[in-house]
Amino acid sequence: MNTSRERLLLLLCVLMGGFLLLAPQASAQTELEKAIQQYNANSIGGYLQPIADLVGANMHAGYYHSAYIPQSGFSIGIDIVAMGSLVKDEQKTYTASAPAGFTPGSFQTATIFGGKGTAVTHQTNTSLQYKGSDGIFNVSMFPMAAPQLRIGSLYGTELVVRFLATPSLGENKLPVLTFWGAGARHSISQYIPYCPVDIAASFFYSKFSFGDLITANGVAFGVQASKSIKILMLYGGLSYEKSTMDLSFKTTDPTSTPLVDVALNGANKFRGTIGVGVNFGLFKVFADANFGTVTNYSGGIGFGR
Amino acid sequence: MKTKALLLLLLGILATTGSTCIQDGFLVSVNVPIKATFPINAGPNLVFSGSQTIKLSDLIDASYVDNLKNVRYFDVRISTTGTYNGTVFVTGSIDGSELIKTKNTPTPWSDLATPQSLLTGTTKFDFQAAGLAQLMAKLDQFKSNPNTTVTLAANGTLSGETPVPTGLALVVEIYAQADSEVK
Repeated sequence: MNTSRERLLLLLCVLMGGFLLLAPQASAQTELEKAIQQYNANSIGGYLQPIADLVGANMHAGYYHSAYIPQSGFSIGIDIVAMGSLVKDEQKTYTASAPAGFTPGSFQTATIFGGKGTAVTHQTNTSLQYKGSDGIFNVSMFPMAAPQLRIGSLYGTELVVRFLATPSLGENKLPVLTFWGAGARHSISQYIPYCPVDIAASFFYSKFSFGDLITANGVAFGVQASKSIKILMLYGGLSYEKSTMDLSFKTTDPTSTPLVDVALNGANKFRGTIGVGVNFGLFKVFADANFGTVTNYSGGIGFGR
Repeated sequence: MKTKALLLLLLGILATTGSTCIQDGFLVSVNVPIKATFPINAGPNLVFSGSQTIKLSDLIDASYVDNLKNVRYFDVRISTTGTYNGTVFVTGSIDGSELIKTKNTPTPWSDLATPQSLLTGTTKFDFQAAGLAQLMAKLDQFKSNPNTTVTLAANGTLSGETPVPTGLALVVEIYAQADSEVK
């Protein structure tokens, strides 16, 4: 590496560390957390299920942009990866339960990605009304991002680590976010003589926390293949993944037991990835599309091998 | 230099992602659980009464109080705690307006262990229009006056077991919601 590249890598490491320092410990509750506490165990699942689905899909995106892993020799690379999952129209509303005894017993209202919350009026006693909160996020794609470090190679194996921590955002509307992941990839094509493409297998674990009330974690197993054509890198993969979002909070709903503890499973189970990258020596640009129950896109830039 | 500038820009985007995608002025339906518990003294006296004044802003997070848009109720409940082998006749009021009253026949105390509810219906109590109108007026007032209070009162008579055992109480609950705008 020349001096300029060393400085660049040093700058990236300092910036990654800077995000750690920028992220304060959770203090006063944010607007998102206070809004969540208005729900009970029956209703919070519908309101937040889209977050569980989209975070689950995002957290496993962008881990690779090539299946090539050298058999040996030290290599290091740093990527800045952004990922986003599409918010479908059906994820903007859900069927909420009205309080016990209410007629009708359920009604359609906004999820956290929806618009205005809907009020339901009791059929026979019209002075009684119940309403869901408005949506909080106004997006068609739910984004996340993280810097990640790739280190190899030992017997055709490389480690991948990603981490991001942000402070509370939006004037204390959103809580501190922490997102990290780690995994390993192992070259399969090293065992196949004259293999026309590079093939690798991978395992990744990811964890996401959003303030004190929301945590999510997931695992992904997969295989990838890539083919380098001059400066182009075509890559793709298949993976099985699983994610769970845990919600634990004290509700203010007087009709409910005070402690709410709910686990929401992410919708994505299988993922097919196709992507393309452009290599300019030690600098790379890459983008891919991920297809499954959730449609996800990721892309970024990379430095190093 | 261009690469470094691009990096700094991307990392800046990472730090601010999220704040730009928040709805402007979204409404949170905040629970306003109004609850008054009236302990009944143990002893020979079968007549009881009590009142409690509740400041509505004390029932919700302080940050919601100044941005209320709508306030509504969706249930009024009355229930008892403790064991008493007898009946009760009770009237509950809000700011002096009658809100809830046992039907003409005194009700077995044990029947009220399960809350009697305006929402689910009850054969034990009548809900009074005057009290419900006063409730609605106070909730409406709360939108513009954070110092709004309600005074819930209960008075009644027990009959049957004497003396009155310890640990009896009457509980009146009003379940309400307030829409607070988060800017």
